[in-house]
Amino acid sequence: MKKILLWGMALLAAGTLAGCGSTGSTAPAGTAAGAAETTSGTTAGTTADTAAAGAPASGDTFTLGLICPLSGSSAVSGQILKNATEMAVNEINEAGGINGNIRIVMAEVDDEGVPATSVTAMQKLVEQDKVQAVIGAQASSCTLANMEITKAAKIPQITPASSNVAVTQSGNPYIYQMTATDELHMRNIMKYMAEEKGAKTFAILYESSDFGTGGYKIAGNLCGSYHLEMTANEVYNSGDTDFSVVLGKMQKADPDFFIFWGYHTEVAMICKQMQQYGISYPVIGQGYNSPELTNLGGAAVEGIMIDTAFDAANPDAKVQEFDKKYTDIYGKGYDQNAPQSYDAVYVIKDAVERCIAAGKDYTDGETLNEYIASTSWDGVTGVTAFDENGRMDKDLLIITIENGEHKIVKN
Amino acid sequence: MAKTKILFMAAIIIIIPILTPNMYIMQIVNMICIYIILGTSINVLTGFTGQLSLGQAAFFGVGAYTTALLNTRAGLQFIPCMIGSVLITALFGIVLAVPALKVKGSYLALLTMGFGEVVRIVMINWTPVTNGTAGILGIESPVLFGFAFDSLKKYYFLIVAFVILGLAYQNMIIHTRTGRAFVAIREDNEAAELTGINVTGYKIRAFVLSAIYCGMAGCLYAMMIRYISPDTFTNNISSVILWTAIVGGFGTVAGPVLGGIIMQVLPEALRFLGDWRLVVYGVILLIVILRFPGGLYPYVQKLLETVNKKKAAADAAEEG
Amino acid sequence: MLFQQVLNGLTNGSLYALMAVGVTMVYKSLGMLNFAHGDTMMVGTFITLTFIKAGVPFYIAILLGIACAGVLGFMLERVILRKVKFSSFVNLLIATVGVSYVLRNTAMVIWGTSPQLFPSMFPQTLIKIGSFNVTPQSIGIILITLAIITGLHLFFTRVKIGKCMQLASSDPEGAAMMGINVTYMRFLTFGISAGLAAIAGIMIAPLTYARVDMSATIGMKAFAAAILGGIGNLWGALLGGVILGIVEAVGAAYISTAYRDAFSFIILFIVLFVKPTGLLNKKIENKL
Repeated sequence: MKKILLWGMALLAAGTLAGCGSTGSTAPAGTAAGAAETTSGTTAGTTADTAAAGAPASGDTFTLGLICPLSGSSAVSGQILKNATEMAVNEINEAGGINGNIRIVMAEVDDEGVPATSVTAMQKLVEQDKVQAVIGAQASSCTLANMEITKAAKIPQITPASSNVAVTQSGNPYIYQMTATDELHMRNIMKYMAEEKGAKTFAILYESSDFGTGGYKIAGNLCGSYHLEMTANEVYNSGDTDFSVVLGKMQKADPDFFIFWGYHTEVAMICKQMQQYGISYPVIGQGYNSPELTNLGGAAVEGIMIDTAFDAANPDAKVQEFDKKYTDIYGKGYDQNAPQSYDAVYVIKDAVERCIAAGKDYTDGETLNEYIASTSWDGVTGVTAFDENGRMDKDLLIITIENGEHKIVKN
Repeated sequence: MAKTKILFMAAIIIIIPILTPNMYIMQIVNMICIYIILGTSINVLTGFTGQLSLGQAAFFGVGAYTTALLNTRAGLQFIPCMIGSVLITALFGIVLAVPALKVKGSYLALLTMGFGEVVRIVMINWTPVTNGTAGILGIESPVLFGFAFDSLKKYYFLIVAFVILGLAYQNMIIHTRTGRAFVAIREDNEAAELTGINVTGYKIRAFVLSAIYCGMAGCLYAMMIRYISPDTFTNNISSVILWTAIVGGFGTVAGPVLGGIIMQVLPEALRFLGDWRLVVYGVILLIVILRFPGGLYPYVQKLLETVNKKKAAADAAEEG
Repeated sequence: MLFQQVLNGLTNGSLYALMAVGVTMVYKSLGMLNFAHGDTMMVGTFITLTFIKAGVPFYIAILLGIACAGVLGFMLERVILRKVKFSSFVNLLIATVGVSYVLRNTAMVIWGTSPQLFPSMFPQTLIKIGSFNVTPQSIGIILITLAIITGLHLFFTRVKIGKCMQLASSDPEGAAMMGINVTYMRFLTFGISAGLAAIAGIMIAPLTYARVDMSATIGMKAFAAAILGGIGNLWGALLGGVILGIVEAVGAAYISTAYRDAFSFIILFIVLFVKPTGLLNKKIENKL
């Protein structure tokens, strides 16, 4: 039996060292954390070294980490985020790189939208890829989980998509939120419905995740100040397919409008079922602004309203330019994560350049962080500036879907 | 001779963390160890006692959540958390064992799978306790008698200690009356009953023991990743745990070790296949099941025997 | 609300019943549960979707999809299960788990992980019955399921091959002595079972979108339904499915929506505890 253990240990040593290789070359990604759908507990983190093409070589590089869902139900949104980030990186590298001579090297990891996986994926970015800044994650629950790691490693992290207010209220000086918070969204929604539509009551349907429950809590906190009353609240789990019960309850409450706080897959299904059961109320909310919404929902999502920071329907010149650039490379269909991650890359570039201009060392995480904190960058999404918590304010739009197209209702 | 073997083993165990190039690889090694413990759990239950379980993730999860809650809510440190995890999972083991006594084969597999699913659904929905899909953040690293295992390398030694403990206990049990009873039950349930073995008692014992192993692994896992959520404890993981023991070799003592290594290393080694990685991984596992129904360990054993025989023959030739 | 939920329950229950029939057929023939059944359903659904997207006329695409699923079932029996037959039972079961894993991951690579819209074979206009809106979908699913199960019943009792299949399942030695090729019958059983799964998938996908993880819950519910009604029994599968569907729907409405999926498992536990042979079976099944 001792012999057995002996050989076992020998195999263990040989196996791990041989099979896993070292940093850099094959960069095996993903440590064992329970990945829901995929493997035997190893994360599905593929590291693709997407070093941009055609950049004049100089010795210096900047390693930018990207963590987002590339598989699982949020894969579409994650892919959009990745596309936009790569677009920005490629643009910068083709122009010579940051400050004209620092090439950006990207290290990407798939976190599947699962918090536990996101944690180990972030560990990989920090420990193995040695990133100097991170863009991500997408899901609020993932960001809340993995930002502890960048905090401990003193690496600035910008999330272009996580909207839960807790992200920038946790006292973490290294995290920045480049998307409107749930609070901002909710205020805009409530203001619009109460003041312009004269609504008095609403029912909220939200996903049980951090994202959804965040929205629910904010709704409860804010509705009073807009003289709105929450007459019903229902929750669903991601992956649910039957909403007849929750819809029935909301219908019973007969509010003036519904608020949805969830992702496109379920919201599309919910709208279809609303149509099926003849439940008709104005719907407004956040989180489901994805091109997939109209693909999956079809006629059922006509008239639905979405509160968003960015939409291609906006006639602003910079918006249109971004829209053209993105659509030319990646085809139609993106959500607000795209321009936000695009701007996030430029915010980092700007911070590095200001840091160098001031003669400081941008490779020191703490120093770089200071420069990111003092950002004032006019980009595709407007002017980005962070408050002392890393939160950023933006003007929001309300759009609706008419004939499958987005149309701005309120600017 | 035994002493040199022990020294050699100790040397390997100590060398491993020195040789690993970075924390990320260290984490893989640590996960292998955790899976060895998990593999042992099902080896005891299914390999030795023949009770097929597809719900081990439930015990793993319960162990992890118990530790997470005891640590984050009650501020308890490692030892009480480990004890708590072990006790609570043992309880769950009894809960599953009771209905499991009445069924076997496919039905048992289904029952355990259902058990796993119910536990997971509770994890997701019992928000006041488990925090639902958001999971539990901020679990602390173990602190033992004032010594903090706050790096993966240090943690490695703690985990290995438990691996050795678990394997040693498994080895011991097999050679006692309990172990023989387990095997008797696996071979023929009714015959075992007829020869006066308390089948009910031993089955419960097997479930509880199996649950305890998972509970141990759960505690170690929670304090290593420092964050847990229901997505970690799915049916898929139960399958993986089952594979770990099968691939290594059901009913063998060192099977879980071999299985743990293979199951964690193989998906990493297949990274170059990109998207098709997991498909090939699954196919390989299928081939192993079909071609090597007894697991890979017996083949490794045979290999060792032939090597030893050759060595003995060579020694004999030298002397002779 | 109650009427709506009962209707939902009947609709879902019919789908569980269809899946349960496939499960029960294989169990009767092979003596074990095929854990790859749910993923067979998923693959059949996606294959159909691929044909539809390629421009194949809708109903032909459906037939092709069902046929392909059938072929998949055949291949499963021939390639995997026959080999494992003489090995231990546990390995056989694990083999089906492994097949399920391979099917799911292959589907993820081929069709991606995002849910996809699946066209319905029923018109979308709502039918008004009293003050309730009923979708043609619900009625259609229930009727089609009834038709299929009745058809199968007739097949197994009136048609020669069907009768041979029945005999080969319940008494393999007797059947062999009568010159029936038991292995071939088993082969057919798998194929038909897979085809049924595909039909269920095609009917459910318009409601839930085609997704590679669609087998997750429905797989286990199919098992629960089959066992509840009495394993090996065709009408048991129908009864089990319907009961499960209704209990689930009503439970979700009046007890808890969040724990909806847990109801089937609770029923399963109760059945296994109280009467493992199921509602419609009288004899104790000795098979593993």
